[in-house]
Formats: sequence, C-alpha cells, structure tokens
Amino acid sequence: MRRLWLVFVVLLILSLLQAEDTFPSKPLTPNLIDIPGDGGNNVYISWKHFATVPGIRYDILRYTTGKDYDKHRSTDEAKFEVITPLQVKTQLPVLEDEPYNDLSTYDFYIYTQSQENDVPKVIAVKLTDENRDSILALGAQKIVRVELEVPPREILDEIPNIFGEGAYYLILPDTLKANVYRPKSVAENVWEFYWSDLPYEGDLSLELKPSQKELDFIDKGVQLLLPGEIEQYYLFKYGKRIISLVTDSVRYTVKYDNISFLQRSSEENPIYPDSHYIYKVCLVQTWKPIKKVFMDSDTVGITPENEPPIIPNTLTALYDSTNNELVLRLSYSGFLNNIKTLFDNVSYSFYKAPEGMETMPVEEDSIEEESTPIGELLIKVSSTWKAVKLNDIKPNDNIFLVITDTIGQTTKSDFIPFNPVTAESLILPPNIIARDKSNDGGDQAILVWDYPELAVRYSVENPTPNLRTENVQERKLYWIPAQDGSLIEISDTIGLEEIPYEAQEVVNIIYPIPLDKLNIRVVYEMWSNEDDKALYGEFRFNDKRKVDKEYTGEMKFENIQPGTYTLIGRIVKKSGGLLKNPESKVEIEIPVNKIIATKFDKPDYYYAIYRGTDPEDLTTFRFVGKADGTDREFIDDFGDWKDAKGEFYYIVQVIGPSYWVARTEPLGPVHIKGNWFNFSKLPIFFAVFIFVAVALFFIYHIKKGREFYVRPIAGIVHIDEALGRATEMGRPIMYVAGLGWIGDIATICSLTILGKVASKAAEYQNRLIVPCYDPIVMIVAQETVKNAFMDAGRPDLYREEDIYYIAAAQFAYAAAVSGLMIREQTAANFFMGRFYAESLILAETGASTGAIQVAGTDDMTQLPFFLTACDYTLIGEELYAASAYLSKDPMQKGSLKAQDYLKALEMLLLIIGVAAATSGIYWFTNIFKAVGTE
Amino acid sequence: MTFNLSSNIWVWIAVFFTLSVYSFLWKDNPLFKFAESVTVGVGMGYAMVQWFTLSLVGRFWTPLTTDFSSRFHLIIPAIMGLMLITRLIPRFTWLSRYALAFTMGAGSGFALPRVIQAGVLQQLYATMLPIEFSLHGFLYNFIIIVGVLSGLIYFFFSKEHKGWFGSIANVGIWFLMVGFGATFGYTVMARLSLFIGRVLFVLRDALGFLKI
Amino acid sequence: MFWKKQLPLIIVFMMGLIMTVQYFIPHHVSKWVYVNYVDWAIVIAIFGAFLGYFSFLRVHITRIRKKTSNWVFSIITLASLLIMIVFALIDGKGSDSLFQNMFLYTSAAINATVFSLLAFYISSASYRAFRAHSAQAVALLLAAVIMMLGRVPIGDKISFWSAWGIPSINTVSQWILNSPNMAAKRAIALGVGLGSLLMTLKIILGIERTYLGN
Repeated sequence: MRRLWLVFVVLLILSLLQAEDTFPSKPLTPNLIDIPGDGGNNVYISWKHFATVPGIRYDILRYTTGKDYDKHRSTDEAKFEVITPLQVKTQLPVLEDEPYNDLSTYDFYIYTQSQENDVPKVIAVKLTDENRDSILALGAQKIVRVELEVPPREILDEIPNIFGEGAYYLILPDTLKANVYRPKSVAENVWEFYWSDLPYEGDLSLELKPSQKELDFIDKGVQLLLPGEIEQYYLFKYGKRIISLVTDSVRYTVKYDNISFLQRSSEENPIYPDSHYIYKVCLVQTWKPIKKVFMDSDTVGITPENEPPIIPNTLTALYDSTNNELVLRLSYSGFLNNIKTLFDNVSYSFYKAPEGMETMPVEEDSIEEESTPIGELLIKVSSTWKAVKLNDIKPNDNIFLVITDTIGQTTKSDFIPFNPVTAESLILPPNIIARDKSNDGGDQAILVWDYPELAVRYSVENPTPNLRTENVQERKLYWIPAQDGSLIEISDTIGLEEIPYEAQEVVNIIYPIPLDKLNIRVVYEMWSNEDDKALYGEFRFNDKRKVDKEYTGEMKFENIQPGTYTLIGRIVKKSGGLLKNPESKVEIEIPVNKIIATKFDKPDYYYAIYRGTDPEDLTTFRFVGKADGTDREFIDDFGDWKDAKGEFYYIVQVIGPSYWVARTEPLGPVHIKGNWFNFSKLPIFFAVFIFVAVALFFIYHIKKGREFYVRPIAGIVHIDEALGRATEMGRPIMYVAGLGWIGDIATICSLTILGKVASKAAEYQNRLIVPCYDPIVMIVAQETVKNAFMDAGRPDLYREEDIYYIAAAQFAYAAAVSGLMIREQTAANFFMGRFYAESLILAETGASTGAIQVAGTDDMTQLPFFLTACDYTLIGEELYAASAYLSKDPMQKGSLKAQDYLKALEMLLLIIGVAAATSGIYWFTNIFKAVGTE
Repeated sequence: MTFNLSSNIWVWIAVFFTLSVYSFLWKDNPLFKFAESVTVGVGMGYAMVQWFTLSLVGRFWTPLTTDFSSRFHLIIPAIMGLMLITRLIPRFTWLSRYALAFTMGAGSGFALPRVIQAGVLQQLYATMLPIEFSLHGFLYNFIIIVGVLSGLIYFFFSKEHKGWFGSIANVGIWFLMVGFGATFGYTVMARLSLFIGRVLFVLRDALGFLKI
Repeated sequence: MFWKKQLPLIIVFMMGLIMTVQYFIPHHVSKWVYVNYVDWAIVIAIFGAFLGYFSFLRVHITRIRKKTSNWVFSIITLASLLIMIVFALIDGKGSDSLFQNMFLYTSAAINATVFSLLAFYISSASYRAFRAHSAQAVALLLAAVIMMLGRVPIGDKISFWSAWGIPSINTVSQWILNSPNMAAKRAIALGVGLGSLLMTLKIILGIERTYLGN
C-alpha cells in the first residue's frame, strides 16, 4: 500500500511539474537594430508578444559594466538596469463559456515548418482526397477548434502551448448581414450619372442586395483562410482573426503583436557609439491574485555605430530648359522617413561636376584620399531644407549631393538625373513682411503677406425630403460601393460578366418628392492676416442682408423659391468698415433649381518658412513651419523669450504641386521685443478706466447725512420677522455662509449680513449656529459674531463652539448641515453666499422642519431651488446690495448709487448698440468684441 | 432571477452606507449619523493625506529643496502662510492680516479687468442684436433685448417700483421667473439620473442582478 | 498701529494695482509676475489648509472631552480619520490600496448617495412649486414643465398639434432656452458683473475690510 502511495505522489508531482511546463515561460529573444545613418546613439529593440501570454508589462533591461564603456557611471558593479517598463496591450481573458469555435466536424489540419528564428511557421489546410497522404505524412494534426478570444487561465493550462507564425481568419458568413445594404450617403457622381436619365432631381438612395459572386461565397460556409486567399473586402466583412488553433494535444497561438521600443541616448541611460550594450526583456504579470514574474528572455548584444550619412531615397531634380532652372527636392520615404529625425546630418551641399566627367568615381580608396570632393559648390543648406532652386544650370550639367554629419563623415550621391518639366508660374505673394509680433511677451515673430481674400462655397439643400420609391429590378442596376461609387446598368453593351465582384444589385431607388422651396447654405472663409483685422462676413442675398457677427463661418437662407439669385459677400473689418481690395468681395450667381454643392477654390501651393541667423550662410537656416496657400500669415513662436534674443532672418519658399519652388531673399533682420502694452485690450482698458472713475466719483462724493432712497429688498426686510418667530418658538437660528472661500464676493456679502443677523440674535437672546465650510471664513465669522454680540451688550451669550468648521467636502458638508437642522430643530435658516448642487438638499431639509428660510446667492443655476424652497430669496445683485444696505458706512451706500448709475450707462450703451447693429454700423458693436487673451 | 453576489467586501460596505443615507429620507436616525460621521472623517483623512503628500511636499517642499537657486522666493509666501496660522493664537491674530491682504488684494486685482471683460463687455456685445422685422427676429433678437433691459431695470435700487418704471420692472421679473423655471426643468433629468446611478450600483455591482 | 491697520491696506492696494496692470502688459516680466503670483497663492493656501485641519481636530476633541450631545459620533469621525492615515502609511496611496478603497467605498459612495438624494428633493421641490400662489410662480412652473418634457422624446410624442404647424413642446423648450432664459441669464450676469466690479474696487481701496476681521 505504501508503494502505491509513493507512486501516486510521484505521478502527482510529475503532473504538476508538467502543468508548469504547458506555457513557454520566457519571452522570445528580442531583435536589436542599430539605426543607420545616426550618430551611433539610438538602438531599436523589438520582439513578439503572443496574445495568450498573460502579462501586462515588459521591462527592458540593459547591462552596464561600469567600466570604460559608460563614462558617466561610477559604480563598479555590473548589473542589468531597467531602461523602461512598457505597458503591453494584452487581450484580457474572456469570461464567457465558449471563447472558441468548434471545428471538429470540418477537416482542417495543421502542421509546422521550422524557420530561422525560434518561431515555427504554422500552416493550416483543408484536407481533400488529393492532399490527404502528403499532409498526414508531414505529421499534420486535426484542428478541433479555433479560439477567437483569449480563454481563461484554466483552459490555457490544460494542454501545452506553442507559439507559431501565421495570420489566419475564420470566415463566418452571417447570412443576415447579406440581405440589405443601405449606404448612408451617395457619392456625387452618382447624381451626375443619373442626371440626364431621371425625371426627378435631387438626392438618391439605393436599396441593394449582394451580387451573385458574394452569394456564392456565402454558400461555401465556414472557411479557414489566409489573407491573400480572398479579397480584402470579404475578409473584413465576414472574417475574424484567429488567435489560436487548437488540436487534441497542442495549442498553437498564431496571433502576436510586435512590441518595439526605440532607445535614444539620455542622461540616465546614455548610448555611446562603438560601445557594447547587452539587452534582455522581462515579462511581468501583475493580475490579481497572481503576481508572477516570468523568466527573463535570452540576452542579445549590439555595438551601435556612427554610420556615414544616408542619401535621401527620394532625390528628384526638376529641370526647366527655358529658364535653365533646376529645382532639387530631398526627402526620405518608406522606412527611412520614420527614422529621419534620428539622423545626425549637418548640411547638404550640391556640387556641379567638372566638364567631361561622365560618372562618379566608384572606388572607395579614391574617395577617401581626397579631402574635398571634386566639383563646384553651388549651394549649401541645413538638413531641414525641403527644396532648393538653382539657376544657370545647363542641360548637360551633372549635379550631385554631398551630406556631412556631426563627426565630419561624408557621403556622395550619384549624379542626379534631370526630369524635364515646364516651370509653373509660381509667383511669390506680394507684400511679404517679417517683423516682431506686437502685443506679445517677446517670444514671437510674425510674417505677413498678400491681401485678404473671401472664399465662398454654397450648397442648395432640400429642407425636409419626403420620399418616393421606385422598384428597379426590371432594369438590372448594380452599384459599386468602392471609390468611384458608380452605377452600372446591364444592357446590350455591358453584360453580367463585366460586373465587378463587389458590385451589389439594386432593388429600389428612393427619390425625394420635389418641393417648391429649397434652402441655401453658404459657407465662407476669410484668408487674412492680423494687419487686416478681418472679423466676419456680411452677405446680401437678393438685397436681403445678413451679418455673421459671431463668425460661425456659415449662413443659411431658407425657403427660397426656384430661380437664379445673386449673392454678394464682403468682409467686415474690426473698425466696422468693409475691406476695399477686390479679393475681399465675392459676387456669384446661385441657380436654385436642383440640389448641388460646390467646393472652395483653394490654391494648390503652400509656403515653407525658414529661419536663420546669417543671411550669407544658408546652412544657418532651418525649417520652422509650413503655411497653407490660404494663409496670409505665419507666427513663429520661440516658446521662451530667452531663445528669441538676437537677430533673425527669414526665407519664404512657395512650393507648388509639382514641387516647383519660388524663394525670397532673406528677409530681416528681425529683432524680437516684448511689448509693454497689449493694444488689442485697449477697449477693456478704457472700460476699466471709465467704470472705475464713475464708481470712485460716487463713492467719495456722497454727501454725508444726505439720505438717498434704496428700495426695500424682500429678504432683508423680513430678517426681523424671521428672528422674532424663532425667538417665540424658542428654537435656534442657523446661518449658512455658503461653500465659497473668503475671496468669493458672495461670501464677503454674506458675512456682512451675518453681522446684522448676529446683532439681532443677541438682542433677542437667541442661539445662533454657523456651520462653516472654509477655515478662514470660519475665523472671520467668529469675529463678526463676537463683535456683534459685544456691541449689543451681550458678550456672555457668545458661544464659539456654535461657529465651527464642519468639512471641506461638498456633500459631507450638506449631510452634516442637514443632520444639524433636523437635530437642533432650527426655526430660522439663512442661506447666503456661494452654493452649488447641495443647495437643494439644504433648502428642502430646512423646509421639511417648518423653518422660515431666507436665501441669497449670485449663481443663476441655484436660484430656482432657493426660490421654490425658501420663503424669501435675494436674487444675484440683491445680495450685494443688501450688504451695502445693511452697512453703516456711507461709502457703501455710495457704491450702491454708483452701481445704479453704471447700470444706467450699460443700458444706454445697449440701446445705442442695438440701433447701431440694426443700421449696419459695425464699428460701434465691434468695440465690445475685445477678446482678452492671456 | 439569478443573483451573482459580489465577493468584494468593499462593495458591501458601500451598499451598507448607501442604504444608511437613504434611511434619512424616512427620518434622522443613528445609522445616518454614523454614515455622516464616517464620510466627514474619511473625507478629512483623505484630504489631509493628499494635502501632505501632494501639496505640502509636492508643491512646496520638493520644489524648494531640489531647485533652491530659482525657487528660493517661495520662502516669502511660506512665511505669510505661517502668519496665517497665527490666527489660532489670540495675541498674534493681526499677523495673519498680511497673508489675507496679499491674497485678497492680488485676487481682486486679478479679477477686476476680467470681470469687466466677461461680465460687462462680452454680455453687452452678445445683446447688441439687430432688430429684424420677421418672426425669427421678434422671437429671438427682440425678446432678448427686451428681457435684458427690463431685467436690468428690475435690479435698480435707487428708484421705487411704481408707475411706468414699476411696469417695466414687472416685465423683468417675469423674464427672470421664466429663466429660473427653465433652469429648474433642465436639471431635473440630470438629478434623477444620479439616483439611477446608485440603484445600478446596488443591483448590478453588488447583487449581480443585472448584466448591463 | 501702522503695522496692524495701515500696512495691510497698503499691501492690498499695491497688490491690487499690480495685478490689474499686469493684465494689460504682455511683456515677459509681467508673465513672470503672474506665474509667481499663482505659485505664491498656492503656497499660502497650503498653509491655510492646515488651519482648517487644526480647528477640525480641536472641535471634535473638545466635544469628546466635554461630552456634549452626540460626542460618540465625534469619536467615530476621528477614528475614521485615523484609519485613513494609518492605511496610507502601511499600504500607500496607489490604486487599489486600502487608502483608495476606503475612500471610494465609504466617503465617495456616501457623497454620491447624498447627491442622489437630490432626485427625491427635486420631486418635493417640484410639488411645492406646483402650489403656485402668484402669477409669476405659475410662469416659473410652466417653463419648468415645458423644459422637462422638451428634453425627452416623450415631449415630441404628445405634441399632437405639431401636425397643424404649431411648434411642438421640444421646439418651444429650445426657444425658451435660447431666448427668455438667455435674456434672464444675461440680466443677472450684467448685474453680478457690476456688483463684482464694485466689490473688488472696494476691497482694493480698503473700503471693504470684513475679511480682515475686527
């Protein structure tokens, strides 16, 4: 018996060990790539993360020796340090019952082919009579199921897992999807195609059904396919990416993500060229309740080098033989485009080879011996230049490029072949000025050019389409949902065989019933710069004027009868006038008889701006930004005023669609200065000045003793009544000063009113409770109440423990105060100050105890709640007025008077403004549009 | 009806407190007082810990000690802050006035031009609408102008609300009441959805009754 | 006396003037003033918060010592506070720590529930509003009802009159929001703006001195 137990224990341990081994427990070895063409201080690390590996974080570790390789390190220890932890986007296990599709009834088989790396290629085939023997000879096994999600850990651990490479899709044709396909919008050319045929004009929409080819495909049923085996369109519509293929004994996980990280040299983790670095990757799994660390991957090493520069793979030369001009464009494309920011290139020099030299010398030796390359230097620019124009180039000239990097290594290109082209007439815009930007802090320069232009496009729309359907199956129409979206009709010339596979059969066409009124939508843009201060557009549509004051960029004219109309648009300046130059005015005829949409006529060139410090040396000029053809200004933001010290020059290059360029001479010098007054805020300055002056006049010149009338404010007048009632009932009074801090104006007013309430409470010998939300408010409240009690001659009644700090959380405060109201059974509640959402809780709780309530706040969103739940409410300004009303200081009353006069001023300005707006005098209303940007 | 009770003890603690708070609707009781005390205490504890780590250490001590050469001036507000604390000592309360003076003075100066820009100029600009003789013009532009003017008249304090003045002020208060009603109605649905949120918490997260 | 009365008022005036002028000056010196003001205000607020915590503790400890009404709950409050601090010390503040969980499942849950009480309170407030006793209260009530119905699809469904060209409840509610409500908001905003202006001016000039205490 004992032996049986022993055998049992051994087998148990073995099976447990085996269970441990079902998963490969370390990540695959990473690949290291030294970035070519850089300064030897970038390393690219990548590895595969298979979908079923349950980890959430990869740590990349690098080995540092501390000796002569890394000069900054002072430790002698050799150890692996974490460079960076990378969060991995893993698929969380699915908790449903069946994360997999059962394929046991089908004949799909799987076998592997080993590859150079440790990941085998996984091949899945459908077994047929022809291939049965050969497949089984390879050791193929039947696929019992495929997993489209990651299954829970228990299922993962049942059988061994192997990582393989293969992109497979399971095709599950859903016949329900295939029935009706109704596109949301139809391409414009569908309308055009049908314009001549149809009796009606307007929007079309189609009811479709799939073509015969698609129906045949659907009939084939469940399939297991590689991406290349069917068209992309079907793959996306019916296919699901497979994560694992599972046989009876093994799971092959075939879906993986490529995880990569570009390590750039930094202070903490420097990379020096020609030093050796060793990396490895470690997977950390921190899902609860397991916190398991997998083994580290194998290590890999690399020695990054500072390679010589790489010639751009897109180096085109456009030659105009009529003007002997050559435009050279340099760019990196493909993989190089992704790493071009890492290159350490300093300058590009274009040379003309001497006469008679037909080809570049190829031997390595001859190039290294020479210290200077052969040829005449034509131009030298920095590495950020995009296009260069050379003059006086003959058709036989041979031009080549030499790139220099930071340590002086050079690379020569071959002779650049010329592409003949007729130069576009690219003109530089008129009036280009580069200068310091005004009204800024000394960190911006601005370039302005050209004159303002108004661009308009319009569409004629059907306001509320009612629809009519026509069954067209007899006509045999097909619609192609791809790019051109055209309709094809089966006829004598086009037969069924010529219909593309993705075409769908049209069963119905839906038309709108034409209306006798249409809407016109005009969309406009103003292309201008800060000198013109263009604000918004004014349009006249058949003499009906509309002004877009808020610059929404859009205007609508509704319910227009068919006919032809004239639209005139103008740009309104900030000073209220209309701009004078011809491009700022637009006059077009709009035919209103069918649905149509037009486009903006945008220029097809753009501007590239370069900034440099020496007008004689183009290598100091670097690319700083791009402006569209519609822009009329470019703001060069240095970021920090310290970087903007010195003299700067600018070059503007116009680049056309076929890459022809026109370039200015260096503009400048520009000196960047900080401005001491922001003139765009001038109206605000004047407003502050006027309002403050008026206020000061009334505050200081109020004659003492002269009583002026203040109308009774409901809440204040009834304070006595409320307090009297509370005293009669022998219950305390509660005063809530709101949830603001001492800096809130509503809180300051509230504290003034508290003084009045406190002195009345002292007079009636009633208890006053003041729960506070802010500690400073509490302290001021305590002093206010204490002084009030002392002035009333009852300092003995003052209880400091009744004025205390409750909590600084909104709803904790509300809960505590509500509880307090119910427990103490307060008979009078005052809510004065700043309140938020808890206002209703406080007011309603108080109302439920039958207390008399007076509230006051300046926030419009809380006033309705106080109005419904309280007996008297001070609305907005009345709260401020109340505090002035109750104060004994004559200056406070003076400020109330000032408030009223200023209000009268506001009303006057408003009436004048309305009159101005009605009569089209824009300059007056635009004064108030001052935008106060920080 | 299947239940899938949560195994997380914290969820059940939250359910207990949720129901304690709702018991307040019936009447004030020790359960609600307990919940109220806990929320005040826990909230204050949370605030204290965050204050110490994020504010005192994070925004004052660490910047001051790591970059003293450029941040040394932070000592001045620290001294003012300490003066603020002297409020607790009766003899030295006057010291705290400096901190308050700085904060209030700077705050008011900061706010003054902004209040004029946002509270006066911008509001006036938006109301300077043209008077159009159409239905749209009447319903929108005209009504807004009349509403703003009559509202302003209502807030006049120097004149009694009598006669023609009183009538216009009356129109003003009508506008205000309609505005308040609209605000009230607008927020009703939002408030009700808060309750739905709590119900979902209990039914879905704790009891596992619903699967949405 | 100068130190206690005049000097603070001078500081208020100087700071007020500086910050008002700062708004109009874009120069980087002015930006430096602004950035430092913000930093200084934050540091002062940090110390000010300490004031609050101290007085909170004092209030509750006093209550426990003097055994005033409900002093037992003060023990619970202080105990909860202590537990939070202990949790932060032993388990840190990270997500899913005891500290965070305690906050989320007690205080945050209670606060959310208190907030949700608004649903009940708004119903009782609506009931009270329905007992309108003046014409203006009727206007408030009507506007509220139209708004409530107009924000949900049911408003459209019961607007049977829209078939005859009369605008539906949803359209009317949109109009109320964009027209009379907008006017009311602006009137209040203009008034509040003026009030704020006068108040900030009074503070800067030293006329308003409530916040300084006695």
